[in-house]
Amino acid sequence: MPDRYARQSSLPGIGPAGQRALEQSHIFVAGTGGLGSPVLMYLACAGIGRITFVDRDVVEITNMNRQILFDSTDIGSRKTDVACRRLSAINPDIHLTPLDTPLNEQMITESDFPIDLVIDCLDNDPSRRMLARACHARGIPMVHGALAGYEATLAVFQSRTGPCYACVYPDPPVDAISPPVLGGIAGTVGSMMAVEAIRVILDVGPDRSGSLLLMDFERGTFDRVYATRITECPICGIGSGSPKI
Amino acid sequence: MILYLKAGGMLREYLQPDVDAFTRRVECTEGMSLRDILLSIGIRPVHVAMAFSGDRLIPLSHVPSDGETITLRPPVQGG
Repeated sequence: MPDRYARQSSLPGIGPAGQRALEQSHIFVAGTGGLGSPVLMYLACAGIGRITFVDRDVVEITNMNRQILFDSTDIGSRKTDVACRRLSAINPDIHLTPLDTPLNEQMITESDFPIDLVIDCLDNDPSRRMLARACHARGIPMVHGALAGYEATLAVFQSRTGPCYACVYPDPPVDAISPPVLGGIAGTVGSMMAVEAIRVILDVGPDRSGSLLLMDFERGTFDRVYATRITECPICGIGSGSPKI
Repeated sequence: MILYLKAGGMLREYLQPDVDAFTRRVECTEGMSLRDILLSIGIRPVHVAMAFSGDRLIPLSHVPSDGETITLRPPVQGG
């Protein structure tokens, strides 16, 4: 019987050992919306052995332009219920833990199973700071994605060795509560986030942590820019109260 | 001195590009910070989440040099 992962495990940098590493890894995904949908689907496809995901929303009609985990028949259902069903159908061999509650730091810092990577598919700055704090406390890498209009950001933060989310955004940004989003952009960026997650887990390619990929789909530009750690960072800096490195 | 500011998306509305659809040429006094330059052309710093020059993120306290091109990014927080 052909192997489910045959077409990826033959890639350089993966192989049978890499595939086993993916199957033994635990990824925490915050948010199952426009970014979370493709992230979760591709992690499930890739055979990430344990995925914990959190979202407390129900599926709404306005989600339909981008949240591809859900369809019109799911409107009104809990997102975590639908996501669990859909992801199990994609790959029944993985272990899923849906959390239908508000995000809190303890989900990461006190997880029963050690978390290898956190993926930020959230839609607001305060929750992102909470996630970044939890990741820094446990030394867990965080893949960050965000979008608004035609613009999007993708980054990997490893705050024990480089800048964290709050080093890049020292001041909480002002933003629209529900920015306009084109579904294809959410799909593109979410897919890229899943690739970054697999790259980090398997240590494939150069370390890009601390840099940001700034995408503008209207101008058609992808710029990679480099951030530096700031000493007064409230999360990872001196005096933050976080564990010292 | 001359500075070129670029922006896409919603920031374009505030930037009022005049070189091309995304770029504005700004004449300013040497030694001004990016924050002061933005204020002088009517852009509130709160509308700029980050700025970069070349491949480096720069703070709004950055003092641009003559001919520099700086790209501005609006807040991007959706998911």
